[in-house]
Amino acid sequence: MRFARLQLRDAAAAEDAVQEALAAAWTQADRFAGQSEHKTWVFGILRHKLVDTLRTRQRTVNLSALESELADEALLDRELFKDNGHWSSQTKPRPWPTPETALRQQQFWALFEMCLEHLPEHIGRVFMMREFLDLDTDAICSELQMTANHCSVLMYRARLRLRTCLSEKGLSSEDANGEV
Amino acid sequence: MGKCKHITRLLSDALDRSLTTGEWVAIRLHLPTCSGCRNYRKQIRLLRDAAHTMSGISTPDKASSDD
Repeated sequence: MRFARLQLRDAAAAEDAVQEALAAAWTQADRFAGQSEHKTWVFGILRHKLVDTLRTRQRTVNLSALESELADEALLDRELFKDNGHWSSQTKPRPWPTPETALRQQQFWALFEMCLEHLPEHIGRVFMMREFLDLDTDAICSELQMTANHCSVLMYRARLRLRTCLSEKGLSSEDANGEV
Repeated sequence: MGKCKHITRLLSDALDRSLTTGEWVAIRLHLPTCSGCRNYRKQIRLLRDAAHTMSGISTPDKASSDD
């Protein structure tokens, strides 16, 4: 549900999509032996519904809103990077747990969701379309009528913000999957 | 060229499009000298694995072994 709402930025439309996915899932429930297999399948349906919904909407991006969002990003850059373009010593990325470890930790998922919700609007939307709906960047750009450069800047900002947010919220590791 | 701000952008782009030879060279020259960017690279890859896992595009085991 939260996933749908993040993607559509519209509670009512999100609820409809989830309802439809659950209804479809319910009628097919006995086809699945394992619960996790079923859950994955429900998510698959939901994903297709969301892509359909996004397709039918006219989603022209308000360019001045986008520009002002990106102007704010310069503030973050000043915290992360020194004037010479290198990491500042406090914000230089430090090791995280290995993927195998992190993806099994409840704490990781809680932080991940929280940080996703904190993404600015356009940055969050493009990230969700790319990584959750698995659309390629060409499709996203044409869908939102943005330039390829805008798309890739937004993806970059999403990744930079998410990893910064997760690190600030305490994700770190003593193990070897990273270098100090 | 070899600044972290620029390299992190290229590392992000690499997840979405093919980089040019020149872009790869810039990354290859930079990464051995910079632990921050090496960690950044692993972290954005993990963000993708997490999103794919959460949305059911792939399972954790598949996600972490497919690169």
